[in-house]
Amino acid sequence: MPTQEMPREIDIIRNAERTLASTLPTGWSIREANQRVRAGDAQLDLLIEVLAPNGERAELAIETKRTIEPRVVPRVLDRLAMYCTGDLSDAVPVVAAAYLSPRSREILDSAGVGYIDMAGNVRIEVSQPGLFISSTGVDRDPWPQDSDLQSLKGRGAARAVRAIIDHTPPFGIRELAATSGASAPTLSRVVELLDREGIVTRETRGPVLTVDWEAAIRRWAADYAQSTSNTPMTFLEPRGLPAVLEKLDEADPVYAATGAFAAQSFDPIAPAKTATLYVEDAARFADRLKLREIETSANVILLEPFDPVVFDRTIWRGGLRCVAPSQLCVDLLTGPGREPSQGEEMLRWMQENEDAWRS
Amino acid sequence: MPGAPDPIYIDARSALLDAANALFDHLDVIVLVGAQAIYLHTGEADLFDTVAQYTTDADFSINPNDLSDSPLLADLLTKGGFRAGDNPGSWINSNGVAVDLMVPEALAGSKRHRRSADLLAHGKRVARRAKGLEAALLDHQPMIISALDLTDNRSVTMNVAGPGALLVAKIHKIAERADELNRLSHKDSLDVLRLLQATETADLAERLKKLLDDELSASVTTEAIQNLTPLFGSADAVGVQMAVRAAGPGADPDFVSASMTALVSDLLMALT
Repeated sequence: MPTQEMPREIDIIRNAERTLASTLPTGWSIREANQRVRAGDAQLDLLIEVLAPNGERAELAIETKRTIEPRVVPRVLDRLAMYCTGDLSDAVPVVAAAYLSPRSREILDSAGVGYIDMAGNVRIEVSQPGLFISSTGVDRDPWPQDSDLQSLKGRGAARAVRAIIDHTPPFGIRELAATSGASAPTLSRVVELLDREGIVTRETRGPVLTVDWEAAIRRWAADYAQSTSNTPMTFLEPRGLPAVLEKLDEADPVYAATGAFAAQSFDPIAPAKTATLYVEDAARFADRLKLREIETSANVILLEPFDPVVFDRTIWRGGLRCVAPSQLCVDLLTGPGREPSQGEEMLRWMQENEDAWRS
Repeated sequence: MPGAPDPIYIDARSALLDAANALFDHLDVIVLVGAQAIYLHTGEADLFDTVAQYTTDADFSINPNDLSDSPLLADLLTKGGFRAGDNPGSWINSNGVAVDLMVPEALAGSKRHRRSADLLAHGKRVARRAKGLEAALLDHQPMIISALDLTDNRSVTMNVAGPGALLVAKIHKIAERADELNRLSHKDSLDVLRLLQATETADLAERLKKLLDDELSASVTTEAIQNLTPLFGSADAVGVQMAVRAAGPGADPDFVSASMTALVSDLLMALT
């Protein structure tokens, strides 16, 4: 697919019609209205009439776009609102595109706007007559622009996203590069990606003005996983987690706790059964703390990190050195067992204690 | 035992103090052994928050060689509110909690009596014989033991068996009963795990080596060490399975068995 050419606007319109025709329940039909809908100089791309078996009808006002980056969604919504007035005030606004990212779909959905893309993502809701069509296709753009950064995978991008989340805007790229140690070119590409996704706003070629840090963490989590972005090794401490804490205290090695082990110091409701620690060299660390390597029934997981950034901005909680809350959050959201729900709790803690972790 | 102690432990500790006070004149030849001694060592580091299902008896080991003929143990206990139970050595307080007086097998006199110890002037019913307690007469230290009930301000200083002696005694108890499964208490194996977890392997090995060097305890200690592997050496060994059952549904069975086999193998390594 990536070698295919970007669909034309006409392909998107045909796809929208085909998708609607094939997904409508039995007895329903559609037809293209021959009415031209204008708002000032602009013209609506497609107006479709949906006919219910009982004769009731509804109109879908469809605006097509080849690509819609999340940041431009508000403008598209404004334009649709201009068309849906007067005769068309009951029309259901719909966006048709080649590909809509999960973030774009989320924004459209919360604005009550339907969508159809060529990657199989559809959501149309009509209240009168009652109609609901929804299906989920792929979450990756089949027609990516080569020049743009597409993912936050990789140590450079992850280090940059940490910097963007952990610092309070406004900030310039160079300034952030200097304080965080992330490379300026990578920071710039990550800011572009987050800008396209509507997660940061910036002045043209200027400083970053706002960062939706929660959305940035969730976006990072989509490309990250605690156990595969890092390199885990599993161990047993036969005297249990209290003994692990004691040894950390005595040996004072370089480490940063994460996962449920760190989370319990923020929310003691769920006592951890496993200690997950970032360390520079797992084998040497295990040797020093006399942990034994074991495949099953491990209670200590040592992670060699994707990047030493996990040791930056650590915070002490109850005698344990924990990773920065932003790192803990992405680790929990992509961790095993109950950790993703602890990640949601952690997001709440971060909202309530922004001063404690952001600067 | 996090939080407030279970009422069962409060009663057991109270009975222990009753008995220690009653036997005050002989306390220097008595060593606290068994589960109550183990809990004094493991304390709050205990990983298994198991609910007590029955009262934990206080187990006293007596050194008959240094025991004076008077006052009589039975008189002191009766005066202290205890009555003799059905079995030799078993003494019950007014709350129905038992204190067991025991004498190490090697010092318990004539073997004509299968269960009771011959304490000469004190008689043959006052204490029972038990194999494996020899080590407690050598590996012990004085500890202050206080009541768990906040309204009870009693405390006593008495000899408490060390982790080496307690391990030897527990292994003997489990080994003796390993072929009579109905008499086995799963909790005994969990107590072994508690001891192994609460004591540094090097410390435990050092204590066992000292016990191996003393004539009184050498043979029971050798036997206990030989029983470590068959009872606790692998995940399917009887002692490990017992510990898994006693640890209850809150504990991960794999963690219990992996910890136990790991600590036993560490200990055996340290002993070579």
